[in-house]
Amino acid sequence: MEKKSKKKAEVVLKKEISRRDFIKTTALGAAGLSLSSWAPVPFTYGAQPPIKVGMLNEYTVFATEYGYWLGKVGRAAIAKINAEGGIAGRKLELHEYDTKANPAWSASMCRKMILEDKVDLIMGSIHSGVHLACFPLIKQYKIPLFSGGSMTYEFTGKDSLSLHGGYYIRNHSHARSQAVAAWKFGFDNLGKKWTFLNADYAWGHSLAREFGSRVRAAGGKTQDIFAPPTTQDFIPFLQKVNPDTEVLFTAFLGSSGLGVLRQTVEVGLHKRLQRFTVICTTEGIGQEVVGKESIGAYYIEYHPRHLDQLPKELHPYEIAYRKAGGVDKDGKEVGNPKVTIAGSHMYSMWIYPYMIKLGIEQSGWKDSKKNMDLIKAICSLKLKAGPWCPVGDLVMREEDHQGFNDFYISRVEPDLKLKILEIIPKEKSMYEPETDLRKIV
Amino acid sequence: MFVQKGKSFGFILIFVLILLLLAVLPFFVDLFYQTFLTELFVWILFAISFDLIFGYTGLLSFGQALFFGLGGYTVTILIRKFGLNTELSLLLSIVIPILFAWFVGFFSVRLTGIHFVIITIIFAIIGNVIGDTWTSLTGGADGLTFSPPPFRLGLFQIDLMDIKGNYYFVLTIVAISFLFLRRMIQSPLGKVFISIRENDERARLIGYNVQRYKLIAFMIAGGLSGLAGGLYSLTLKYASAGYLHWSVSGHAVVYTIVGGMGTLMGPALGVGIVMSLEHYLINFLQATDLVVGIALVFMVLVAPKGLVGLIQSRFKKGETSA
Amino acid sequence: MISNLAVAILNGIVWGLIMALIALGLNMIFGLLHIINMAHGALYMLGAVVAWYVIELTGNFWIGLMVAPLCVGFIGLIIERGLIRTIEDKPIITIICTFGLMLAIQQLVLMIFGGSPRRISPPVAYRFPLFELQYPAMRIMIALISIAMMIGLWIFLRKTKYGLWMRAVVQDREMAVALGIPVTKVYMWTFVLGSALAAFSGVLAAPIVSVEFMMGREVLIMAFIIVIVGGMGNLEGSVIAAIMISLIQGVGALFVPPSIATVFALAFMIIVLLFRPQGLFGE
Repeated sequence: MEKKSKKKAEVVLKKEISRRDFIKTTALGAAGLSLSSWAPVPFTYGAQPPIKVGMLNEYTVFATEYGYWLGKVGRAAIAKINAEGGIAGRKLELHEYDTKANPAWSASMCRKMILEDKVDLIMGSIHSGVHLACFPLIKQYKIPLFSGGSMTYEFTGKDSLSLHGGYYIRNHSHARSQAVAAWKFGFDNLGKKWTFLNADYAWGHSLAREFGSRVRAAGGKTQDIFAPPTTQDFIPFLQKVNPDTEVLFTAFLGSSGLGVLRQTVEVGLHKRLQRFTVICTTEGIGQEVVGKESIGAYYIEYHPRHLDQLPKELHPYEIAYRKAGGVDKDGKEVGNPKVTIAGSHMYSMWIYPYMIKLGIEQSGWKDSKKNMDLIKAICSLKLKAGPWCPVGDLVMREEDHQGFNDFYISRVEPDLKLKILEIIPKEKSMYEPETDLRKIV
Repeated sequence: MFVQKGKSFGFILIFVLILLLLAVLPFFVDLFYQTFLTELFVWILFAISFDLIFGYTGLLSFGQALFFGLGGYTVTILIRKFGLNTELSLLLSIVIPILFAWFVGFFSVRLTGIHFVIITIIFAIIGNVIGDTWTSLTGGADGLTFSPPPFRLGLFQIDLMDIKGNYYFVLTIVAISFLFLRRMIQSPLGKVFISIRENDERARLIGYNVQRYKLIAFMIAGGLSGLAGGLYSLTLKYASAGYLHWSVSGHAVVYTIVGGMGTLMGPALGVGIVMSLEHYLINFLQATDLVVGIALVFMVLVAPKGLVGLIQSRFKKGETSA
Repeated sequence: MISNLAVAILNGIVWGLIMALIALGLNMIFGLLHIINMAHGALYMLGAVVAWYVIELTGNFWIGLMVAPLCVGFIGLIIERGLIRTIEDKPIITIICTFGLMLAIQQLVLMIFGGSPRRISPPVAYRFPLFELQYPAMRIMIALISIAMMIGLWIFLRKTKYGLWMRAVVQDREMAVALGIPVTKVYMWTFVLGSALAAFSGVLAAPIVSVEFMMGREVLIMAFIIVIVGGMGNLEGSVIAAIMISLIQGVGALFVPPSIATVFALAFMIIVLLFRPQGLFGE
């Protein structure tokens, strides 16, 4: 049994474990159902039942480069935990589903995971809409949801209780912590007059608001230009950039992210202003794909893409982590140099299983009756750099279930490498919590 | 005449049987299947509303997502931002899309054929763009969540946070809508729709104000699409601008054609088969779109009149040989 | 302001020409043959993807530009013979089949090519100075190619025997058969031509928009709108329609939020359709 599960990429997928009910429709109009019998979960006699972990990621439609890496790292992390003996003598069993970047579909998958697969926990996805659509479910069934990488800061803000009842945990950064950490670098080093050319939806709006408000509060000047998220022709927007703008902050994903970066250079704007953006815009995309146009652009990274840019003391952990994920020292997939990692996002999935392990061991969690105790234990963790935490120290905050680790400012060098200019310690990113989830019973 | 009565009786019998089956199902299947079926019912309502204008009136509108999304957002925004009760919000999720359908239809029914298709698509895209960017109202692509209060009718009350309650609630409303549509199709009004589908030039020559009837059909379909959207939001406790995307309209088109247009049962069957296929496949692969895409091609080649058409021709064969 | 307006107008026209080129293949298949090809966007995407592989191998953009349409034209041939031929006269079924085809092709490309966007370097990197900005010569080049293609196709349709056959087949199929025109062959080769054109436009657009498995989804609906508003099968009409949409969006974005400008452009299309349902230049 052990060998078999190890062979299948060391993850036991749902199809191996139980036969799903076969759904047939009757020939007479509205769908009927026929059920086939369940096969019991195969585990060795006498062993404890596995801990079921649901994983939701964007594997098709949109943001697939994120889903690919979050899924890969998530699977590797769970395999490693299982190889090291599981948690409290129990194996982790993974149930993976595609969000299709579609919140309504994801809510369906969430229901499937909770009601049919009977998962104990869910992790993954970078799509805020997906998480939002799942909130009613995790709140009702009290299932912890560990965010893969959604950047809407409100999810751990003042509405936390009404949104998800405290069942949402986020160990990675978001628009506000990014802004709090990095706005000053831009303001001091790049310029005081900013233009935000962002995607016209929540993520683009919040980045413009979080960075912009701080720039203005310090006496700077800002301009907002919002373009549709899938814009292909940026010239109409680029020409609106104020003549005296010193910093152009762009926030788009996928091919639009590439488009805005390249077209900024094509129209020559890079000669009179600095380009500043979050790494999200080209995660999973190599700088060689962005092209020589990206030279001189500044990025905010949450974990360096290049191994040698990381502080020396973290190297042994990072090397082991990259090995498990099949990644080389420059953030390319081993054996597949055209594939670049989503390095600033995927680490969240590596760390969660470890956090869950610590939380279960500390709280003595056995089943869903004590999910909130488990969450509280997890959210009080102060992780130290180690094989399970290659990003350096990571602190969780009990008040809002939010995690913090160091930030990096990098610049694209002539050889297209992302070189770290400054490390911003996590303390600088810790804004005041807007809620207090400690009071939940 | 006897055949007609026989058909009617046959239909009632089958309908009641299915309804009974669905009514007792929650006692035998687990919660997940109840939620799956609830979603199925919502899409069935959406598909049969599409069948009204497409299968019965002959107007291919690729823009029904506009009304679906409007219905969904009406319920969500009224409950969440204005604290309105569920009954009234659901009612308005029919009324407001009807008003929009009146506006869109007023312009659209002046055109025919492919031009009607495109103009409805353009209206839907406008709705989608507004939904995506007016994030303070709609939450954009990320959407809005809400907690609907129990649905109250007189002394009767259903808690929508309860899966079983939700199931029966949606089943009842969809069943009533199905019967309503069927009644309408069989009425003189429905016959006018069908005559427009068959030959709208001839209908006009007989003296019918074709554009007015097309508009009526469009408005009814819009209202029912809105109701479907409202039910969808109530079931998911969520709405997003994605509800307004043309791919949602595309779903209705696919379900209806695969099942058999102009039959009401057909779209319901189409929903059942395609959704079940999708949900079954995700247990094995991630590339469900590939299989679904190929399956669609095959289904429509094998059964050009839809699955209902296939079944009907089987029966007919049986009759003639007997 | 004047310079902003000038740039917006220039870009609106250039971008409109690029969009018209993308819609050209659909104009052949849908505008002329009335086959509702939902897979047009997928063929456009395939052109870019095939070109990417060819350019990886040869390092030459122009070879990619020549090979990709040939490959995708061949794929179009297979689709026409294998599938479309049996259902050409049944528009409802064609919609579903081509829709299913689109899903399948996109998913296949995702599995083989991957989900991450890739780059094709522009063959022409020169930039014109234009007021305070620079304007990429690549875009002007594509716009000129677009005009050249339109003129070429116009000559083809009006002045050659094959073009005559195509127009005859659309006007009255039975009569065309009676006159001895090889109708099935005409349909087939027109479909191939349309597919090749879709791929051709995909290769040209790729340096600007990047190569991605979903890139067809964005252009599909816009292509249909351009073809119908311009007048089915009418080349000049689609150019005007595409330029109008692009201009209203681009110039509008100077004065109102871009999403509102898009809504204006779309509302304008509705008005055109209401007053001239046959399209700008349609019959």
